[in-house]
Amino acid sequence: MEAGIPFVLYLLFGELGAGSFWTAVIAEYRGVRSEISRRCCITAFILMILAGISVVMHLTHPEHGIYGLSNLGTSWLSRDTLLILLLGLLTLIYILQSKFGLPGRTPVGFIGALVGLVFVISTGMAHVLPARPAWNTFLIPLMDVVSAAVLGMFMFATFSTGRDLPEQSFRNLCKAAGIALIVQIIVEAGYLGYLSGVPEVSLGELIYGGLGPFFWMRVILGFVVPLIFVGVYLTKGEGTISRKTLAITCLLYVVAGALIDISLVHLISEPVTLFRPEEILGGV
Amino acid sequence: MVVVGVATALGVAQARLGGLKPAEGAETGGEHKRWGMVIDLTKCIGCHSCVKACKETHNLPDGVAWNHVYKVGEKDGRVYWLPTLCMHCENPPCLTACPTGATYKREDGIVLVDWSKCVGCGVCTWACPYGARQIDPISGFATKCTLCYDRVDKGLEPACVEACPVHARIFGDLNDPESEVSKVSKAAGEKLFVLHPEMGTDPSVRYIKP
Repeated sequence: MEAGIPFVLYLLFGELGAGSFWTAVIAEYRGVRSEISRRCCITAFILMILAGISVVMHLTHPEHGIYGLSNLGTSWLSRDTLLILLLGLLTLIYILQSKFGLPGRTPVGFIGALVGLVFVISTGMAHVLPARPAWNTFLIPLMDVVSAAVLGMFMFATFSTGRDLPEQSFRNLCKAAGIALIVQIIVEAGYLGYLSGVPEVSLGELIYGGLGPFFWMRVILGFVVPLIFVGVYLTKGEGTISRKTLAITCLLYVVAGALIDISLVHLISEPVTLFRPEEILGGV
Repeated sequence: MVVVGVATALGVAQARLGGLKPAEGAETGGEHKRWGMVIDLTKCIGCHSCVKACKETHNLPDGVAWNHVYKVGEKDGRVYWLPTLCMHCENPPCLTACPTGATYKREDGIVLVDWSKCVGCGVCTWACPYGARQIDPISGFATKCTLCYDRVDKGLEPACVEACPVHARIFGDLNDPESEVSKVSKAAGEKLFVLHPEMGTDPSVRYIKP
């Protein structure tokens, strides 16, 4: 599957939606006002709809989409379809519970968060294929989960810029997002280490070859700038950067970083080498 | 009218690319058969007759090929070639990856695609380690070698086998020890190999090393 723009957007919206939802659920559980959480959940729900639209645009025959749940036993893509439908449904129920003050929000929220987590893992697992050595590692779903967490936290931060969230809570959110970014850097460095052992992938091409500019854009936009903003805010306080500037800037940058990251992961996915002449001809 | 139009268009597309009908295989394929092929690389001369016969038989459009022939290299002053096609694996990774169940395996081991279920997601093209699958640029469906199941069901050999001028391809029932393909496989001994055995796909297309 050549991953076109709709598929890349599907992955981005999926991670953003799931991450936003589980951050909102956890934040509300930890005492953040439900209005803030609800605004974030509504955005997450819209993102899931956008993910659905994107994946439909990716398919050449979406009219057969009804069969998308036919191979749940073995196909991660089939499971992925089920999970995003479930996640969307649970998110909607959670929003309605919040809006009308209905009981049972906590279990719905946590089940939804768990479904969101499994959905992101499932999306990653759909890529773990022996035929694509660059993806044939558990680091792919792990990267997706960490990316969703980072995106979700910064998305939540954009809804937390008002005075209805205490400064200490906002600082805690920033600390959590900063830690998630550092974890993401470690995981992605680990993935680069994995790629160094994959003969089908040229690390040189990725870092300083044709893909180099995109790789470094990913590093700067997705890691360096958000870490600087978070670091400055945490050390110097709101006097230097406003909450709104921090949250919106960081969200835009991590989204851009994630978009480049997803694209790069697909661009390097060369198929496994079909044959090695020496194995057929015997050391020639 | 729209439904009829779409159905007709799909029918025409299917007919052009080989006309796959899911129930057909199960009914006509032998219960204990496992259709497969052995390709003797010592005989293959890289003439591409198999590629041409396949394209003509299935009326494949430009940019779509179910058979490929790769140059392996030279040994003792002779050039060797590796023809490839769908391996009709016993454990097809394309089948496990397919979200809609469009990919299925007949009882006789032939792996096919039911276009009435295919969404064209292309995950099968990712999952196949043999590069045997493509998304047809015209129909938008996943497309691959059918092992000429319609010919096989009539007792004929696949077009690529029939077209090979040096009889490098031997087709038959891998489960029948008396079939030519089984005998040739047995005689090849340690020279018999499959591509990517480490993936556990158990291909039905096997090769004899030079």
